[in-house]
Amino acid sequence: MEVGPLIEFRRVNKFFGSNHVLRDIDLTIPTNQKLVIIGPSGSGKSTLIRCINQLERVSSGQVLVDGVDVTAPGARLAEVRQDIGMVFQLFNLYPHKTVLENVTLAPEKVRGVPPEQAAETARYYLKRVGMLHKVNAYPAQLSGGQQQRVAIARALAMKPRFMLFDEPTSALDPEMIGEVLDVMTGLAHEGMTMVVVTHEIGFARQVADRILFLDNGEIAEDGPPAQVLDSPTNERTKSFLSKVLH
Amino acid sequence: MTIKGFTDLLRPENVSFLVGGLAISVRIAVLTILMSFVFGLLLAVARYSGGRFKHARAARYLGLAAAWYIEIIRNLPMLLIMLATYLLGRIPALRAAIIGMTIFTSAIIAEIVRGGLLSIDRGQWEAATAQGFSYRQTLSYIVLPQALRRMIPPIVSQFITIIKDTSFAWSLGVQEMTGRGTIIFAKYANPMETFFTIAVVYFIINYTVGQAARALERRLAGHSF
Repeated sequence: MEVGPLIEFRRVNKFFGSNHVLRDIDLTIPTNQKLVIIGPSGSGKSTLIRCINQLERVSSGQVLVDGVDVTAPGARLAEVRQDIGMVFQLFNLYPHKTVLENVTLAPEKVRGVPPEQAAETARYYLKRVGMLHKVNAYPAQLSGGQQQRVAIARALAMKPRFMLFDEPTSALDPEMIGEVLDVMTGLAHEGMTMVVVTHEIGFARQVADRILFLDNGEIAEDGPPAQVLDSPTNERTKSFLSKVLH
Repeated sequence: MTIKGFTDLLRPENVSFLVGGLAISVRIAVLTILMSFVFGLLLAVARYSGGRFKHARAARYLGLAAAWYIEIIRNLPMLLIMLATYLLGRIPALRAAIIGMTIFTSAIIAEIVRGGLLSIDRGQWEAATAQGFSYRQTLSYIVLPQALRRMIPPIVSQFITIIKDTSFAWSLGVQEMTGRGTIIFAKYANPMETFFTIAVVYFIINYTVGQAARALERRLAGHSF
């Protein structure tokens, strides 16, 4: 049986005013792929990943998620978004809710999962990210790395089809980056489909099975880590990597 | 101020007359606070949502209507609105006072609430939207609860203003506490003693409300943000 792509971009363009942020993006992401997107700041990485769950509307073109055109007028976005986990640079936990409530809120209110079952699922995922000991804490009482691990558990508790990570370690102190990347690596090994925007080249090399190098709104390089990181063909990719690889 | 002024004021019949007035003041204040809070919240959400849904016609018109209501009402004197409610509405003075104050105060509360909504970080909307929450769910579970906590100090200030402004009801002939005070001092010629005593009562009530609000703030601040 033919399995269609999980995520598909068809000639996607995005403008912010006169700023052309995404240029004719064509992209197909199959189930189980671990795709890492790298590139200089302002290259459109975050905009691209945010188009997948339509936090950002496209200016032209189409984005399909599991065969559903999410860019179509009247698309049932809330339904599509329930199945997409997203992790943000600034965590965006709900500050008025405890760690446990942060993880149970969407399953209960969006999916209608009974409270006891939602709490059980939440504990399972909080344990997996090593945050079970903080279930009753509030986000403000946690370190950045801890908040981001809770945010990952919050996304996983919705049992998403795939996960989006938008620079998940960029706001973290260096000593906390490892704990978050470890959780993400574990997730990748379990077969979760992941799209990750990051500056962590080491993580990309270790976990990705495909890397995109985005430059000025275009996919300048697309291939397995060995090819993109070690023998890039594009001049811009070479110059970017020489700066970040030291 | 003289001892006689106070002994006249504190005769049992005068005390019970004043306490009866206080009961009316409290009744006006409580009803106005409750109704203004509900209407203010609705007005704020309408105006705020109108700004966010520029493409949905119904939401935009509702938002514009709320904005016009707020801008017109809050730029008029409250006493004028109370008098107009009484004279044009042809309703009993007490009811007119409560309704008039509610018409005015709702507009003030609405702007406080809208300010609170606008202060919530965009990331909260994004996180909730990405999880599949609807607009209404995001407002009620995530944005409003955070906004309401931030709004406690200005909202409570407004509640205290309402308690003090119940004295305007005297202008409609409602015998609330200040009004009954004027009746007493007209009889005993002790305005200083009467106003001083009434002022102490207002102060104690409002100071207590303010301190209760501070305690609530501290309790909420203790465990979150």
